[in-house]
Amino acid sequence: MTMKKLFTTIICAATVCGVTAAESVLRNGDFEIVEKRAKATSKHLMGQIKQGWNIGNNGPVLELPKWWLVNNGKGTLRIITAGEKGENKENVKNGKNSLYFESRGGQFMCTAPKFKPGKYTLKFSAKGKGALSFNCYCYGINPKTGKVARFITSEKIHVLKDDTANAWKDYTQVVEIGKKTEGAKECTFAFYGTYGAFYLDDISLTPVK
Amino acid sequence: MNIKSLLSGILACIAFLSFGWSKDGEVSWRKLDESIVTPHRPIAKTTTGTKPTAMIFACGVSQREIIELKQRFDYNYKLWPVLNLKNFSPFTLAHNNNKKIRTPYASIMRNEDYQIEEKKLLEEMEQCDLIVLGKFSFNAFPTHIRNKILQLIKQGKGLIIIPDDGSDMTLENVSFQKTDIDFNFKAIPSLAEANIKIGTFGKGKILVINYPEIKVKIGTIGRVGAFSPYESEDPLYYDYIMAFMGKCFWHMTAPERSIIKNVSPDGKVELKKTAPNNSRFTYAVLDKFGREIFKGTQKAEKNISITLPELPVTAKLLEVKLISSDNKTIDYEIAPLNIKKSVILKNITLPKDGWKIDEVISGKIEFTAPAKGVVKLSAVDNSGREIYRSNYAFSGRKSLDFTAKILHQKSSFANLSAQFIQDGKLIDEIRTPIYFDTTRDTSDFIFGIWSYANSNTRTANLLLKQMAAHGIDVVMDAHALYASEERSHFIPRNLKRAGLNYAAYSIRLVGSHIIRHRKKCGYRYYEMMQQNNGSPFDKDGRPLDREYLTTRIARGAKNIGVMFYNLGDENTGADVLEDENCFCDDCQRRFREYLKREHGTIENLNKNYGSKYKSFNEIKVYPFIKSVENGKYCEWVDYRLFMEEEFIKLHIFYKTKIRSVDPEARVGIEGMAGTSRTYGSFNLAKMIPHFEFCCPYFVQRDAWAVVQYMKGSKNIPPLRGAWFGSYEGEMNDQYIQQQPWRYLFAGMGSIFYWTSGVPATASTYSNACIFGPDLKLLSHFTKASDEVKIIKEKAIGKMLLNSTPRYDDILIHYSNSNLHVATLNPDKSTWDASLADFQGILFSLGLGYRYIDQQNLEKGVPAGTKVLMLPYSQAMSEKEVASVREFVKQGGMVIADYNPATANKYGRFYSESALKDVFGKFEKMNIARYGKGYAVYLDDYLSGSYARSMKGEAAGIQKGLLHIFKKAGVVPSYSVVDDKGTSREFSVFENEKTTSLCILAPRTAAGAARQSAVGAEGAAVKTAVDGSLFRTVILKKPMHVYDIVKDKYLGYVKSFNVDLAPAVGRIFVCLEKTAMKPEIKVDKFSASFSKGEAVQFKIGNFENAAILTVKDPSGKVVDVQRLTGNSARFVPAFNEPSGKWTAELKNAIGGMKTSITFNVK
Repeated sequence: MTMKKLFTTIICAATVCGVTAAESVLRNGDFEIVEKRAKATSKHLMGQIKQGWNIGNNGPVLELPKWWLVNNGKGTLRIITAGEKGENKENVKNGKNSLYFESRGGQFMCTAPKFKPGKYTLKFSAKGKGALSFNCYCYGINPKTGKVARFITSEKIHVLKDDTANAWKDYTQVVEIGKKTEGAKECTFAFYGTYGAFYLDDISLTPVK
Repeated sequence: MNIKSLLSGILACIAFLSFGWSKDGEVSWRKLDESIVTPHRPIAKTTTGTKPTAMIFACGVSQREIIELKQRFDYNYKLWPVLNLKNFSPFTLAHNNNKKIRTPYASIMRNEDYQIEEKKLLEEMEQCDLIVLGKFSFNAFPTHIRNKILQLIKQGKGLIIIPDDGSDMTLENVSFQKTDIDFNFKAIPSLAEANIKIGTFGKGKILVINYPEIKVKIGTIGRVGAFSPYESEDPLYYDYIMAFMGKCFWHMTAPERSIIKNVSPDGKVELKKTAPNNSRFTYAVLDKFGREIFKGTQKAEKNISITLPELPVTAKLLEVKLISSDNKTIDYEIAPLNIKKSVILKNITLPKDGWKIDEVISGKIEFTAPAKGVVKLSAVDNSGREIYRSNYAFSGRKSLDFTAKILHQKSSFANLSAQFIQDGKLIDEIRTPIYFDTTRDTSDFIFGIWSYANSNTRTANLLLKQMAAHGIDVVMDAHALYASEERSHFIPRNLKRAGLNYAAYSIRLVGSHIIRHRKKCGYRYYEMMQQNNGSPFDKDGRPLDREYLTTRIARGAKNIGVMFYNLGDENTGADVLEDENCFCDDCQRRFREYLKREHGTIENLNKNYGSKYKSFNEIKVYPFIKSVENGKYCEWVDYRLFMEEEFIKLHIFYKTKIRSVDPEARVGIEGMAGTSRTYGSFNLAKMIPHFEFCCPYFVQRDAWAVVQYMKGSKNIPPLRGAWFGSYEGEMNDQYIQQQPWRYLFAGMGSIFYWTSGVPATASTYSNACIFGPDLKLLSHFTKASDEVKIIKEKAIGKMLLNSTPRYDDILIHYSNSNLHVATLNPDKSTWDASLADFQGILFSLGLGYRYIDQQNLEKGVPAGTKVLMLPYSQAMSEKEVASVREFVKQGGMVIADYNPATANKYGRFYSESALKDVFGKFEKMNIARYGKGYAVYLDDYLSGSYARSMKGEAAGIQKGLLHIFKKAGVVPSYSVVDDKGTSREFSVFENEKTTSLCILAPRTAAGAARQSAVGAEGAAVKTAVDGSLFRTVILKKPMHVYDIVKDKYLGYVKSFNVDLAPAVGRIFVCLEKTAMKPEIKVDKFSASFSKGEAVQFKIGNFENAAILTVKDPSGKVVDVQRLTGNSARFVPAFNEPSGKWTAELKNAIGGMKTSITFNVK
């Protein structure tokens, strides 16, 4: 094979991969990147803890998936790592970690990045029992600043009501995000629970071409 | 609950906090107010013919030169502000290959508004004769605007380009030729090297005025002035730089009007053609100080000769104007004068230029050759007062020694002038500036600002004078540190000339960046100094480490007085826990040495830690997460306490350096970041006593630490203040105006505003500044400065600083061990949250408290204490526990919220609280008897009470707490309640005779709603009072009450009602007897004084502060002083009138006055 052909092949392959392998707009949806931090150093987290959130354990250090944050309500949230703290592989779908989420009116949100409204494929794996609502939050232009910052409304994009206590189940759904919200320029993602508890893994939101 | 509404609220909140910071405050976009008239010589104020109209592009306060020119020259203008010298607007940054579109901090418009404005301006440009780029590059225009300009030139309009940096200007299809303007601009030193060229483009012309690049380094922020060359401030020539610019306008729009052909230094004037009917010449000679020393008028003819008298050497310019019959300027010209004399003054030599108050000034006046005559030595200060005058006759001498005793009277600076007079005629005059150190007195409220004073241009200097006129006392210049040594010495003097004091800024001394970016430990210097016999310099006088820039500033500024040396803006041990530092080998070693000092033996350490170390050498400490995961709680807590010491020592090291240059330097810190964070390394109880200056971001916790722990000394009285300003994200009237009162009522003696804005660029697309482009100060600043004015003028600041905050025998435990242990065990509360609740509820009840730190509590609870409060005091040493136990046993009351004494001071947790025997049960609101006293366990009783009390929603908690306090004998002597009977916040200050009740009304919701928009409606304000500001003040017994702000006597009352105005302070002084009539006497039998002699007054018979007003024989107020002692002084100036003067002393309380007269000869 000539050099020219080789380069052409590589470029074509790269282009095809780029086109076909669209990336999830959610960062760390598989919860593999975990951050440890001192509870006392975050006013927000201390507020959540005092409100009733049990995050990780009772010590001074808590663990959270990077780019994700608890907000409001109360509940229990733990990073499940296979092989650690008595956890076995059955509570982790893929990779090393999954998330245990037991909510009483609390939400868990992906803090970055914001993404454009449009059609997406929502995928995730879950094991547990109860109800979870997957939402997106739509932002428009703040007339004062000219920047996208004005919260307009939230949209429910998927509701999980299930009892899969003993087995992981994969969910896939194409969702329209921000279509119904006039002026929506960017969106963020969160899920919210009212009762029950789930193990969650591999949450992704991939643009549909 | 509806999930949508719940989450909407939360996310809207987050969005607002993250992005939607208030865009309120006054907007000054394109608004040029010509009402501020500055000193100027009107060269061609009204002219014959058609006035040119110019569209001018400029930025920052440079835009003011549009008005400066208009004060001197007749033209119309339209303004198009640009972002800065290199960029057109924040919305077009990408045009300059800067891909990142950056919106300025506190931006005043959005892109959509900008597009509308741009359209408007493009239309306006078509109506102009001339387009002028005042220090803006033609290449920096966005393409569509540049093309539009070129199109207009092609059609016949003129373009004047004044490049910012002296760079050459080229334009495709335009051939530039060197040209002359019909004006002798070479006579103006700063224009002598100007390179002027002209090119033709279509029907229009392009004039390029290139000033040579200045030699002195002034940075971007010092490049001020749209038309004038940088650094061209001059009392004489500035007017003629503007005259030159006017001539350039004429050259481009009406070259045919030039009629004066030549003016020569010997007075010959030649016109190009016959003079217009009934026209005349007016002429004047000006000296180098800008004074008109000769003038006249002559009928206009084609050739005339002006007879000039014998002129002094100082005469520099002959100005000739051709005036029409209807008194309008037809044309003007100048000629340089170069007067020669056989002997002239060479210089005034002084050993230094800065002088202490009343210090005798001695120096020498030198001549170029032996001379005979009289030297009139005088000094005129920054207010125009001639504060010194003396004549020295001499004969055959080449120099003259003099000694000048100038009795100081408020002057910040004066020009010391020597006039050489022979046979009654002025031969020569030279001047040298002298500066007075007025930085020692901190007994009155001080107003400071973060600003820049490195530009020696007219508009920048006018801005400094504007600040002084609006009550600013001190400027922390943020550029001297980066300037050349010479320029760093210029800056303090420049401020003094404007009547302002200088304070030295320093960049962050220590913080995460030292470890993260420099990759080296920031804490080794103090150790170096200790090993060097405590000196920061080696045996050759070189600094032990790199030159500390502030010492360089100190060398040049110490004589003229530095208000304070700031050891670092926003110093911090670390920004975030992830940057916790420092864990280098040196710090580990010093930590082990600290442990030996702290614990004595390894056995003691093991006992304190519950560990099993065999030697200190085994001990190594790690960052928080790793320490916790390995169970090394005590090591980590001890390490934090150790790092706090290191942090303090580092500051001491730099303070020592400054003090080695300026022995009486007032040194401190400001804007401390992370004071309530465990890794911030601030232990204010230990740190603040080392300083004489401190200016934190305002939180009650830190403010009180500054008030209590910073004592200063007799020679260096402390300066306590806090920041406010546009960084807070709110600039509405109520927010801004409340801060001076808030800080004063918290015991602070000063307030500092961030920021004036960078003069070179501010006030265009951002209103994070205090000035508009016309020098008019913006309302989001003046709202505060007006309040400071009230605080000063009514002597409120003076009175409160002459008082002490009331103390109701309540102590609050203030220990950094609790901060760190709260990080280990945060689930109940945090250190700062608990402190805020304790302080807030006491503030809401008007109860005064003090902190007691770990070291002092270990010595025992001071006698007289009634209540000891333990805010989340989990970590207490055995000695502290013993002190508490003994205190309660003897009848005291201890109050805790959560987990008192559950660990020792190193963070070793006990199986149960060491104070369990005292508290009994740890149940909410359990009140236990122990010995003769009480132990109260609040649990979450106070949680959130600070915020609730500020809203008037803590009535139940307040009542409950008062009930508890009563058991300890603490009963408020005063209370302030709202219309619902709920206690509201106030503070009490006392001195020997006065009790001042200080109430700051809260902001109203409506008042906070002010918003501004771009355009004419930009400054529209909507404020409203919602009627919740009624207060009843109840005293323990009837007293004479005086409303100081309203100048009103409220009577001998036990209670009174008051309607507060939102967000401003009120102060009510309570007296046992009615306010006295003050007494004032002149301390001289004859009561007759010479000018320059001190009029000494004996004053008395007032309770706290009095106001002295001195009036000249015409009744003009010459001086106002606010006084607290028993004497005062006034020194009449030599240029003030003789006759009967009046001194009126007014009691600041009640307003009774006494007047006396004295004679000034």
